[in-house]
Amino acid sequence: MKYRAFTRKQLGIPYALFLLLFVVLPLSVVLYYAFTDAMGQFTMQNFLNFFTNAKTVGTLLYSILIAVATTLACLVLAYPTAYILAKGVFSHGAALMMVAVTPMWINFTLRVTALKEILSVIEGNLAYYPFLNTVIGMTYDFLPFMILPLYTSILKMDSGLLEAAADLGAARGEIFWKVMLPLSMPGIVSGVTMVFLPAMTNYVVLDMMYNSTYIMGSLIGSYFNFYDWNNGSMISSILLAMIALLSWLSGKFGESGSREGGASL
Amino acid sequence: MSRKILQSLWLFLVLMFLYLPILFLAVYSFTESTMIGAIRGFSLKNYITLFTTGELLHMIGGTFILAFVVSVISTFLGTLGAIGTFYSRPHIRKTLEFANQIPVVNADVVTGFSMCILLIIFLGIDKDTYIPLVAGQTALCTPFVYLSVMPRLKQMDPFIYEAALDLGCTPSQALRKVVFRELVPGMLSGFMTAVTLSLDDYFITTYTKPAVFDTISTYVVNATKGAQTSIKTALWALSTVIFLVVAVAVVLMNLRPAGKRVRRAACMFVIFTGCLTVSTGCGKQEEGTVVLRVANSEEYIDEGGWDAEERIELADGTQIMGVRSMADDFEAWYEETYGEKVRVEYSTYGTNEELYNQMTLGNTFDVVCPSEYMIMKLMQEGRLQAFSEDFFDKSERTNYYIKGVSPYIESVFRRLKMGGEELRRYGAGYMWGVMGIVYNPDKVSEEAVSHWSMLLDDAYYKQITMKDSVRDSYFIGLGILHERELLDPSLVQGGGYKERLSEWMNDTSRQTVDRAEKILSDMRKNAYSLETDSGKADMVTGKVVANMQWSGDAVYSLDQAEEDGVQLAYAVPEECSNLWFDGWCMMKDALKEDARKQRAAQAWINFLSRPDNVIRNMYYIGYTSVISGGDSNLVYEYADYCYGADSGSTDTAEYPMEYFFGEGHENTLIAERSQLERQLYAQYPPEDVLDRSAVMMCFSDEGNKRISQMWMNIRCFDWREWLENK
Repeated sequence: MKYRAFTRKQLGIPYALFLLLFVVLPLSVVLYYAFTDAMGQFTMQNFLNFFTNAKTVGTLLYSILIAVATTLACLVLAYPTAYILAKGVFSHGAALMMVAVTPMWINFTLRVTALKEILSVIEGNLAYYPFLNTVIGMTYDFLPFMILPLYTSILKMDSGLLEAAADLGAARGEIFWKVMLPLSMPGIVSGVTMVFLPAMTNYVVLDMMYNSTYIMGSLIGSYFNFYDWNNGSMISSILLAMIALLSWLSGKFGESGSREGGASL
Repeated sequence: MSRKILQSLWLFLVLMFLYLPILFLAVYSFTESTMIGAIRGFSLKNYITLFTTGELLHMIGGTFILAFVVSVISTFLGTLGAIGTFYSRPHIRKTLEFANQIPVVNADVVTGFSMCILLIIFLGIDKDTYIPLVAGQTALCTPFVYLSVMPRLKQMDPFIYEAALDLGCTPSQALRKVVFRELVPGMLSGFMTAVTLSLDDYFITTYTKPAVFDTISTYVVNATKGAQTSIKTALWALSTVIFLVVAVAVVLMNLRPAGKRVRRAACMFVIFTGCLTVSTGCGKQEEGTVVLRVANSEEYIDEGGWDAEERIELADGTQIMGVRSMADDFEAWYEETYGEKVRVEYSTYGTNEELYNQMTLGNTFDVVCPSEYMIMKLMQEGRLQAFSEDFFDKSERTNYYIKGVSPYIESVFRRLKMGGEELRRYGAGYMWGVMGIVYNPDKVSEEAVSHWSMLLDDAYYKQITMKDSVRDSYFIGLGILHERELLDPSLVQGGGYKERLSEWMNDTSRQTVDRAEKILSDMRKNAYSLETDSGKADMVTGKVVANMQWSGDAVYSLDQAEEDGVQLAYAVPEECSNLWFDGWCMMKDALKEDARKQRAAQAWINFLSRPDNVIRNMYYIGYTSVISGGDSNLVYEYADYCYGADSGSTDTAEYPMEYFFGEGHENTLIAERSQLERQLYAQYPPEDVLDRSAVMMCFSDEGNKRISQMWMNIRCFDWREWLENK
């Protein structure tokens, strides 16, 4: 018995090594670069560069604003969609689910170019609404990432519980807020983590939507272009810190280990 | 009933949101349009290009093979990882789960950037091995496989593994025949997720890919220079095809049982990897062949494949046509001329900075084609190999460069020095031009575009574009800063004007940078977009009325607009302009004083300078070559072919180009009068424009730091100003 359990555990070793080598190690190197200067000496200067410049701090705030707006927009669009697909009146929910995800097989740069053109027909001059357009573009790009985990978690939800709540006299709103929402929390948490960070950093969508204001991702890109690995690493580290914060917060809302919904296509 | 309607309506709207852009692309893919927004007649051209262009098929194939390989590795690793983790002790399990979560929530930019720092800068692994690229994408995809396999493991009856063992299976048999079977749906959905992520990835790929390899994403984002759009528009056809294939696959997947799918996937994997090995096998170097590694801007050379109607017939009867790519023709020509085989490994980059980064991060190229300031930077760092003496020997028949280079360009090159050495010894010109403004004469007056400050004018609020490039925009900022002095006739006529101009346009002192920052910051607020590519389309489709533009791209915009029945014009403001050129130079660390390689490298430059090839390139990319032709008249004939007035035309004007073609050469064109402010003006700017042009040199490290900081300040979000406005 002991021997058998050992072999199964061993299967995880290649992946553990892979994670160590290609996930943990690169991030450690980024941290190292973030706190050293071009000569390799320890310094806090990169950190200070970022936080003492009102402009870069402004960009951090702006990125957060974009990310919050995008995440909310995705959530509002994705929740009913996921619900309809999982529990709605359609018998082929799973097939429809695939339909909702297939746009992702077509390269996002091409799709966003076309989206931009459609928006410019609607809005007239795109440049008047850079923030709105960025949020629309990112919502468009990231929506499937929000629908997927929500779909999985709503699908797993026991419909009996909702019926029971109704039988016990709960109003529709109450059912939603007190039963459904808490039950689908793992899906929400997973979706939010999948959308929030990309929305702070995907500068290709930002550029394509004619928003000339930098977000955090643009800063990394431009430091990279100016051959400044150290400051670029600092921005990456700040984003890592945000991830840590986000995970800590999501740990408070959703139970750990319940994020597997984030993947199933 | 109403519930059903409501649900259908919502679903319809959401799917519409997701699919409308794809439908848009599909419609455009069946037209002759070169840009989204300006629709033209029905055509299947894009589909023909898609299935017949080798370069394109190569890129698409590469993208899909990469996605496939990455997904197979990810599925394998992720599944094993999930099983291993599932049966591990809680604290190990927690740690692995945490590490697995990092790439899922981490920003792709950070994953790509950190991978690049570790593998390439820290460990010195060559990008050309594809290891960083595959590792990077695998790191992105595997966690998703893990996450989709894990729930299946949890749902699996915990005793079936034990039962299999009790029934006489070995542990490995039990895993293969029982556990894996149970996990197949999870693995499949993980695999599909991995394919999706890999196909859509831009950031990780761009930081880790080898220079010779492009995926669809990196291609679309980088292909900003030049006039060729056939590949870009063929990608619309590709997205339509992918969409249909996926739609069919979705239907089939819902009909067939799972077991067959796995076997099929396995078969496909074998075929794919087979193809991959064959294709890399073909790439093996033949004995005695010189391999020349060339790096050039994206779409900056004739790739061949012209239609029959594109054939250029000059007045003297010469016919020019690009059948094969320039690189292929060079290989044949070189063997014929020098009796030695050469193979060109051609790769492309988006910007000068990207080229520099690639070379700093371990890519080696023999011949590269950066802009003037980057040539100077490379010279300064001692990384360039000087041309040999015989490169400058005009009596040699095949020395097309030195025989054909325009006397004007040659004189500019002689004046440019870096550390006491002449630039012409290290760099040979390729394309050149100035910076100006493309404008719509119906909306903007000629008077307005004669000053750079029109870009600040709020009469054109959100209707002008500026360049998303620090150096180009900084130059314009300086032009506006010194507006009054530059327009002062006493300065222009007085001595030392050129020196003053050059000094002002290369000033990176603290004070000047600060003042330019204010100007450019205002300009950004006034601008519709900061672009390097989209401005052309926005000008043609009428979204903007004026567009800060390099002369070569201006020619393209004007041509395209003409086809849609819109007349645009080009002007270079009165204050000053940026004289730029891109040039070929040889990298010391790649050539390693190998005489054969250097001969091939110099022959490459000469081949591109042969007048008929010059015309092919000019036609294909739309920019102006530095070659005027020397004793050959072809380049002038080509200008006449493009811009010469028809014999019956009444409203014509003389257009002198003596400065460019030289005294002893035919040099004055009879052109339509309208051409004086249109394509011809952009292609060969008149002499007075060049008199007020300056070359922007390579700045000191300190200067570079200042202007890059300035650029970031301009681009970052200024919340204090935002609060004030509220």
